[in-house]
Amino acid sequence: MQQSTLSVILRLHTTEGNALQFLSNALLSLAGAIYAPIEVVVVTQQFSPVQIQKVEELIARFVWKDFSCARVVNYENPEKKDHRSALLNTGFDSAQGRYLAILDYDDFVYEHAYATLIEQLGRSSAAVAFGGCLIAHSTRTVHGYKVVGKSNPWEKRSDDEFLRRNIYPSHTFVIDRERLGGRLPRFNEKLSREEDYDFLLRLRFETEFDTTCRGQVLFEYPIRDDGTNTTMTENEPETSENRAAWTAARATWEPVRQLLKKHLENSKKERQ
Amino acid sequence: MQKEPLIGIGIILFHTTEKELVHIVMTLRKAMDGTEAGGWRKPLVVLADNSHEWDAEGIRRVSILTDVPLHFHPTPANGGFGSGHNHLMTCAFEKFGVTHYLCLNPDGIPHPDALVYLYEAIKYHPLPAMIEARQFPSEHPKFYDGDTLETDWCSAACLIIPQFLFELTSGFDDRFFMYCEDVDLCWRVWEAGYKCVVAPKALFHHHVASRTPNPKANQWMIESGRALASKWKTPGFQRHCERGLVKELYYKSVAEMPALKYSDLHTPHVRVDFDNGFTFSIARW
Repeated sequence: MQQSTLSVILRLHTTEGNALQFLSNALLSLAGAIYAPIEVVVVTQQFSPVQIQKVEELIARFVWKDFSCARVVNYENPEKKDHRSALLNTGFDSAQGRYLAILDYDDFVYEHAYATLIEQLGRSSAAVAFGGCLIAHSTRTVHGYKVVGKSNPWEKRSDDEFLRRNIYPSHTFVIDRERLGGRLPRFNEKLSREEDYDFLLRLRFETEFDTTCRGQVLFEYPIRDDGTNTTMTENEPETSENRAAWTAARATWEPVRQLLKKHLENSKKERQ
Repeated sequence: MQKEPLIGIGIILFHTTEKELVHIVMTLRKAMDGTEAGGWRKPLVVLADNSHEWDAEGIRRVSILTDVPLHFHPTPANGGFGSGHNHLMTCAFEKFGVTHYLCLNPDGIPHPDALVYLYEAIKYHPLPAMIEARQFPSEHPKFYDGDTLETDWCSAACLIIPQFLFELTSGFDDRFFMYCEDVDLCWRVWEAGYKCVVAPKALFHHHVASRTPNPKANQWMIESGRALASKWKTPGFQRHCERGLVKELYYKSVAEMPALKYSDLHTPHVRVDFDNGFTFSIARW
């Protein structure tokens, strides 16, 4: 019996620098994944036809097994800013699969990551399952990036800590949208920081989180020491624009978090 | 004039299904197309099957399905990993005139640019060298030098062996049934004054992280570690392996274990590392 399709939303902002090389690594991890079929939706931000062609040519160099496939969806918005949230919503809208996952172009997954989480969803009543993740610390050498160490900063964080801060990197979960019905939240397009935390807080209203597989490393999150990561961290340069973006993000998710705390407390009381 | 390199890709099948083989060969085809586009000679593929489930007709069918010429050279018996590759290497070097053999595991797929990067690595290193692709997504933790790319040993999951080094060393020691034969071969290459290096941009997607514990594979690993230690005159590690084999109930005592009859003993040199367990090298993490 054919399994249900998993749509992986792969966010790509640029074709400059090493972006296409990193993207090819992400695609390799998906082409080699045990779970199939996978529908890879590469969502690009305001790419020119030439840029889109480059990405499509890269995709065509991979062999997609068992009805897996990959395609490009270009998010068109001439406003010059980081449309990271809109890219994900565009991907969700375009995705055909029952299951959803997110991947940035410079991240990758272990071969059994999705098979493990989808199997776990089958055992669970939750609509989202999380896996463990390692940070791969990389340094630039004359021959490219070299991994010099790995760490797992999330390993010892309890699930309760989620109500204080985000402990789930955005590429470490699979959502079963059939189980959610029409209640899949959208990413807040006003946010360019912590949009994933805001999304997960909203998602938590709709479903339990299955964290059974958090102790099993299924994903890697490469951090390069030359500052070329796309993920925004609080260590980014201290500018008024960046500060404003972080403040706006917090102002957006803080009320959601407070509501969620109450919601979970009430649910707990009802169960008792 | 130096001959332009030609890679012969050697795969030892073992209970490989037709669907799996088609996927591997289709993936290789994409990577081989990349070599031609980059001005390199198009590699060829040689196959053997240690499980003896494949015949020439089956391989011919896959060849037609994938539009990739496949050269099938059955092994007379399952003599293990190293023995199978020695058999294929001999065929590849003698019959097809390849200059470099790529030892490729069937439980993985190369990145579409991997063969180009391996060709570039062959050109980059002035003397014949063992050249290993970087395993992905779960990279092997053993150390390599970011500048010289030198490493104590190369994994044979995706490994370039130049004809010169094959002839110099006679290839893998086929007394190792499985595991550690690559470590042994690389240490002999270092001993002979040649290098083992990593090609960090050449990625080989290798199913390592998802491996489930396999008692037989575990036994082979420890037995090979014991043989390696014996051959490289390191009795401490040999005893460590023997204790492991007894502790994990593969044998009741050392007396029951296979005899280690090595006349070709080697003296440990600077690249020989038994201090870091089965990593056989300093680990990066």
